[in-house]
Amino acid sequence: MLLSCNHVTGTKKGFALNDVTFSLEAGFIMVLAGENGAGKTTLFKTILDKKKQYTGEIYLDGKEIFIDHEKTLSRIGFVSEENIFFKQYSALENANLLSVFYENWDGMEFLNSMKKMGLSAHKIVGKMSRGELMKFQMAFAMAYKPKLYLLDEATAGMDPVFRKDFYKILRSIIAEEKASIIMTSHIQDELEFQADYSGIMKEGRLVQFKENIV
Amino acid sequence: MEQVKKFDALYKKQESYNFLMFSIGKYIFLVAGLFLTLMTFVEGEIYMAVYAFVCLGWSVILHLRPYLIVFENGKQINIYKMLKWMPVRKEDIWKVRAEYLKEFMRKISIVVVIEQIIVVLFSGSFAFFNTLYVIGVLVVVWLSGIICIVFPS
Repeated sequence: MLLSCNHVTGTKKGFALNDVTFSLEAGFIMVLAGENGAGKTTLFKTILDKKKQYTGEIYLDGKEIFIDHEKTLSRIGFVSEENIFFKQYSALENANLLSVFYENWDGMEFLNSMKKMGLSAHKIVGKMSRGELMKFQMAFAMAYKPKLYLLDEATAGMDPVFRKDFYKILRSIIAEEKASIIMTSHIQDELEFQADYSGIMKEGRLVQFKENIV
Repeated sequence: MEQVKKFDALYKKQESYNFLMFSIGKYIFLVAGLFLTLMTFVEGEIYMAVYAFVCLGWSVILHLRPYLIVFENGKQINIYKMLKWMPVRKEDIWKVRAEYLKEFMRKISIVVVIEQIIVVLFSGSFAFFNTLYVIGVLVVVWLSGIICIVFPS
């Protein structure tokens, strides 16, 4: 199993996850759906947060994520509107600055990925549209070849033509890198046809998790 | 920690104008503080020591500040928030800034000790207050620096 969540319950005050359990093998795409506020982004932040704020266990590639959380973060690619980059710098300047934190960083891969996404590396991050920002973050993540991609509404804001290419990029990532992808989405097509597994969250619980048989 | 230092070097290059402005401010307060230190002993007015300490405290804050905040569209965002999702520990960022503070304290202690030697030579007498003053400067600089590192906003 690449990712395993066992009875993960948030301990933060206010809204929290409630007994979330699922596993995802390497090389598969899982789509997580649910109403706004259901806990999809909270699940991602629970994995990424530098402070452990849950009970239960989360394993990435067989290792508990908090044993060496910095190493865990270097193996996860996070694409979200809530991700933080230097808005006053270009995509390339952001990449040069932040790549120091990633051992596996490949600058050429970043530039090639930006080209595949149809985005200029010199575009200022603060001036990107939502769709462009998601593409940049995807290219950034691909440059350090994470094992797990967490895509938070990444395709919302992408034009339908590019969205098809984007799914091809995702499929090639999981095929070549044996990575796994969890994406949150409200797009029906993604739920039914693009994912290998789908889950539905409601009020912090994973109420449904199944394999999509197409 | 090496990654944090590499990041700082690149960030300083990227924000060279901001770092220059903070540097100018730092040296203005540093010179003022050292001048007031001399005046404290020459004029014998203890209250000048308070102003000297304030100036030296500000000089260390201005020394560390560009490493602790990011300017974005007129807003100041603390560096820990900017690197929230990066694979780097907050403690490592703290430790590197603490190293910068230590280096600043080392340099300032040399200058203040030299100042006190000059004061003693000119006055012809050594008082315990001369030593106490050096300790006072280091405590003020260290406290100002630590507060700045832990609470950059």
